[in-house]
Amino acid sequence: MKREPAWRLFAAEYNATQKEIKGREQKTPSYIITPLGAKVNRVFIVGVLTDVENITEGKDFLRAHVSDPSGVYTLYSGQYQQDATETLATIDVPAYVAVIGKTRTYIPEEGQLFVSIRPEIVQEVTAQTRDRWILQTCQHTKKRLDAINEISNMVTPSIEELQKLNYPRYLAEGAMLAKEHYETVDIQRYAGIIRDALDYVFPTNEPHEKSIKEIEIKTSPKINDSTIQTKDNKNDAPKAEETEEIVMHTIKKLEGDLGAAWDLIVEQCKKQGLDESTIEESLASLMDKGFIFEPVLGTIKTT
Amino acid sequence: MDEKQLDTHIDTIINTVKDNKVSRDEILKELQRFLEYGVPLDHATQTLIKKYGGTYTPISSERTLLADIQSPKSSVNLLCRVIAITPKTTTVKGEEKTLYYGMVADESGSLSFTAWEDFQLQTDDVIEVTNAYLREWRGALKLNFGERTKIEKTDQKRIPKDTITPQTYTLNDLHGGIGLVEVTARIETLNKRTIETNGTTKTLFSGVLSDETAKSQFTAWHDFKLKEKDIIKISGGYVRTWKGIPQLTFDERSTVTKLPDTTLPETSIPPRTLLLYELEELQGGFDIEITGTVLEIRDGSGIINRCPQCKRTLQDTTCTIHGSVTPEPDLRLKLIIDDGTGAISTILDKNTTEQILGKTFKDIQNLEKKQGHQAVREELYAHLFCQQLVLRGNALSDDYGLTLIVKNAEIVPLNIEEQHDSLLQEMETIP
Ligand SMILES: [Zn+2]
Repeated sequence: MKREPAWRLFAAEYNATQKEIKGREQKTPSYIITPLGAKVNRVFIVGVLTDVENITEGKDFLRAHVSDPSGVYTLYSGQYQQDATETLATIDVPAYVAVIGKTRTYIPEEGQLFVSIRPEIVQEVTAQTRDRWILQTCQHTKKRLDAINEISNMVTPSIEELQKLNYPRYLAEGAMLAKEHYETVDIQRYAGIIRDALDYVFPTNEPHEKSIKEIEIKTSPKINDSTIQTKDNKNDAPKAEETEEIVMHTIKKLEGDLGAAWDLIVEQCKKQGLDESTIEESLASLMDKGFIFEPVLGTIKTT
Repeated sequence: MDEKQLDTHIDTIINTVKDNKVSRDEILKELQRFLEYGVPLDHATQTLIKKYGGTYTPISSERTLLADIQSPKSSVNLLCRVIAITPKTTTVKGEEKTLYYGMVADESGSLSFTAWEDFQLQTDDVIEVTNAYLREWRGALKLNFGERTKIEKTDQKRIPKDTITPQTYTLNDLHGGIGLVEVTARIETLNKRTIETNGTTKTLFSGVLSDETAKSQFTAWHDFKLKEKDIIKISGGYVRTWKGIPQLTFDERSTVTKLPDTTLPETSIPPRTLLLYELEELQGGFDIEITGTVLEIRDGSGIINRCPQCKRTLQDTTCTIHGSVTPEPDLRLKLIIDDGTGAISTILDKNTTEQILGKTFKDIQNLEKKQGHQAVREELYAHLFCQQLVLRGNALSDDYGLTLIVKNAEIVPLNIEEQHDSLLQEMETIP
C-alpha cells in the first residue's frame, strides 16, 4: 500500500517525455520516464492557471493550462475528478494554483507521446507557495541532472556505480532508465531551465526573455521596475511572444477537430506579416511549452 | 570419492547448463573420466560446465567460514546455524512475495541473510548451504539464498550452540531478523508491566535504550534488576520488529552485565533523519525526523469526538464497544506529507496541532461551532496546505501503510534569497 510520491518537475521536462511504462494489470501503476529519469505516476506542480475551458458540450470536461517558468502543463479534469473540476471552474484566471495529479498520456500514433495531468487536488495558493515550489523543483531537477551528467562520464554506468557515488537508489534507477530510453539528453538545456527559474524567483540583473514571464507581469503582484524596463527596451525588435500569439490564434482558427496543416498555418501567418523562419521558430517554441502538438506529421493541434 | 558428492556436482552442472540436453549418465561418465586422469573435482566440474555451454562460475564445494567472507561473492558454501529468521511480505515488481530475513552463524562469526524462497528454515536449524551469494547492501555484506541455492538440514551437533559467540552491534545497526546480538547501552526509560500468556503471568520490562549512535526500544522477558540510567552490556539478544520498528529483545538465555557509568558519555541523541523513500524501505523506525510538504489534509482532521473510555473516534454518540456515551471532543490532524521521494500519512495530536496552527483547541472549537466544519477545513488548508514541515516521531507500518505518529512539528520558514544563492552556487558543478 505504498503511496506514489508526487514528483517536482518543470513543465519543460514533463512535456519532453517520450517513454511510458504501462502497468501490466489494473493494480500495478503506470509511469512515465522523463529525459532526466524521473519515474512519474503523480506530480505536484505550482504555477499560474492561465485558462480553463469546457471541451465537451453538456458535460463538465475541462481543459486547463498551468504555466511555470519553463513552459505549460495541460490539465484534463472530468466528472471523476469532481472536486478538482469544480475548483477549476470557479477560480478566476489568472491565479496561482497548486495541483496534485496523476500523469495522463495520449499516443496519437506509434512513436509519439503527449503527456498531460489528471488533477486530484487543485487549490489556489499564494505567490510565496509558488516561489517555494520553484526553489524545491530547481533542487530536485538539479539532483536528477547530476545523475544524468555522472552517467555520461562513466565508461560502464550502472545503478551500483551511481550508488557508490552516494546517489540514492531511486535516482540511480531513474537515471539508468533515462539512459535506456533517450539517446542524448541536452544537459545544457536543463541547466538553463534551472538557472532561468532561479532568476525568475530572485531576479538578478540580466534581462528576462521568457514569454511566460510576460504573461505574469500583467497579473503578478511581484512586478518590479527592472522587469518592466526590460520589456520597454525591446520595442525595436518584434517580440517573440507577440508572434507566438499570432501563430497560436491562427492555429485555433484553422484547426477544427482534425488539426491545422503546417503549410496552411505558415501561409496564413505570412499574410499577417511574419516571415517563414519566425513562424517556424514560434511553432517550435509553442510546442516546447506544451501549447501545441503534432498529432500527425505536418498537422498541428492546440493542447 | 563417494557417489553422493559426485551427485551434487552433477546437479551443479545440470543446473548451470541452460540448454539441458545432456543426460546424467553422460555427465557422470565424463566426470569419472576426468577424475581418473587426476583432475580435481571442482576443476572437472567447471570444465564440463564450459563444455556444455554453461557460463563459468567459480563453484567450489569447499566450505567457507563466515568470518572469511570479506567481499561480495557469486557463490559460497556454508555450514551454519540459523540464529534468527522472520518472514516479511513485500512487493517485488508489482507482485506480493514473502522473503525471509534472518541471521546465520558458525564458529567464526555471523552474517545477515535474505532467503528469496521458503527454505522451511527455523531458528536453531544447522544447515549445509550450497551456492549462496553475497551482495553489498547499505555498506554491509549480506548473504542471499536464491533460486540456485541448495539448503539441507543437518545434525545440530555439527555446530553446537555454545561455539557461537555474539556479535557486537551499535543501536543504529539493529534491524529485524538478527540474533545473537551484543549491545552496550544506557537505559533511558524503563516500564514494567505484566501480561498473561498461556494462563501464566509474566513480567515484562520495556523501554528505550541509547548509545552514541541511536535510540532503540527494548523488551526484556526476564527480571535483570534493570534501573533507569544504568549502563548495561546485553549479550545474546535478538531483534524483533513491531509494526516496522526494531526492538532489541532479551530473555533468560541472554546475559546482562552492569558497567560503570562512565562507559558511555551522556549525550542527547538526535533523531534519525531520513528521506521518505528510505523510511519506506525500512518500513518504520523509532525517533525519526522527516521534512516534507503537506499535500493533503485528510478527513478526520480538526475537531473530532472520542469515546471517553476507550478513546476511539466516534461518528456520533455511540461507541461500538461502550454503547451510548457522552463524546469527548479532541483536536488532531491527519496529513499526507510528501518529499518528492516518497509519501507518508502522519497523525498530529492536540498539542502538536495547536503548536503548528498557532491556535488553541478552544479557537478551533469556536470556529467549528460558529461557522461549521467546512470553515475549519478551509482554515486548515489556508494554514498548512503546501507548507513545508519538519516532523519528528515514531513511524509504524500496518495494513494501512506507513504512519508517522508525530511528537514534534515545525513549519520550515521560506528564505528565498538564501535558498536561491545556495542553489545558484550548486549550479556551478554543471559546466
Ligand atoms: Zn469506547
